[in-house]
Amino acid sequence: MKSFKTFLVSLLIGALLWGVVNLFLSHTPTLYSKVKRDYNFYIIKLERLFFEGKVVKKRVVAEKLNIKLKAIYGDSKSGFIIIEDKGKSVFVDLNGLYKGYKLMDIRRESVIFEKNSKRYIVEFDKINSDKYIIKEKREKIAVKRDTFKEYKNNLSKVWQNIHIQKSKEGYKILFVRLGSIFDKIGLKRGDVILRVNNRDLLNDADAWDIYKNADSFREFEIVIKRNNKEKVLYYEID
Amino acid sequence: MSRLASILLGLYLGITFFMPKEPLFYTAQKYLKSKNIYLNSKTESSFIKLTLKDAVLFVDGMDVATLKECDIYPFLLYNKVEIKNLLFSIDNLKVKNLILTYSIVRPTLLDIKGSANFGTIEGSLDLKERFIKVYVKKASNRVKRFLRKDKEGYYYYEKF
Repeated sequence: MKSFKTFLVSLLIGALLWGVVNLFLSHTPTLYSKVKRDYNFYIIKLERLFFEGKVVKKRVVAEKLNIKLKAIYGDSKSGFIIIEDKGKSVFVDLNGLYKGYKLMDIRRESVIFEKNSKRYIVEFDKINSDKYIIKEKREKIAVKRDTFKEYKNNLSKVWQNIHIQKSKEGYKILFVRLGSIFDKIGLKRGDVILRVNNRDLLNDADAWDIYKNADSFREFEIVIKRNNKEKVLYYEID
Repeated sequence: MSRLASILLGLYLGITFFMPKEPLFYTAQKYLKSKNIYLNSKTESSFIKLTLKDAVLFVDGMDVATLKECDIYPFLLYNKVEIKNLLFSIDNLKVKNLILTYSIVRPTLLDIKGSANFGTIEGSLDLKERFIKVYVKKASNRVKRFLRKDKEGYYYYEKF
């Protein structure tokens, strides 16, 4: 009985010891809160936030001008057009003059001239219109989704085909295996990957997050630095 | 003699059963934070064990592994950690069960045993010499290139 009492007292002393230690311990968990990032691009029309009611687009009322439009380069901010004049090609800059007509606006398939405060529209011939638009377009490279999944589930395969190393601005490509998917999508040794889908690659966590989410992307926009010039590679996932 | 045995047994059981397991785990989490390592998990504690459920291990902001359940038995003289379904984020490496044991009989060694989808694991971590050596029996090809080989088979070795 005496031994049992001693046992109980010792048990309580053990419990009390922890009671004292417990005062100095942390009582709240330390958790890592991962910021969930969305890589999709959105066009947000801020005018909807600041204006009430419907936003009515400004309509330009213009007469048709009988000039043959051959090509358009640029947009409403800058650029030039090529028109045909007696079998010769004439270049007209935005805000430039052609026979007293001032080139006011360049659109996707038409241009607006102005003369004596009156506006004139010149359009492509409807049948061939698309052929003449030489406005720079981003070249899309199609990549199979299965290929992405295959690489995502097999990191070793990634390292067999590409070697990258953290640099000041992003990740520098040290090696690309010829014929590999990385070679096919246009990555080259010496390129520095700066951004993927508008996300800067500042640390391993950024790169890891992109790798882990790779198979959920519908498209990829990779900004690289090659020969001290930035280049955008654009991929569409099939 | 029996009185001394009662004192020692009472103290041992008191210290083991009344150990504040959750606060100790939270304190460990706080320490790991300084190394940029986080272990997010649900916790449940009882007199004999601490259970971590649905845990995610983050290292430098990267979620490198998840584990379904982990039972920690801190008996001081003999300690055991049982991990179930440890899944690494790379290459679908999955450890079905992993048992780590530490006993004062061999105070410098931590024994490691387990089974994974890339082979059977058996080895130890030497706290004195500061290295880990784990043999992977029936190692699959995808992990062989990370392993060394000797007479006994493929093994993973790392100094720390």
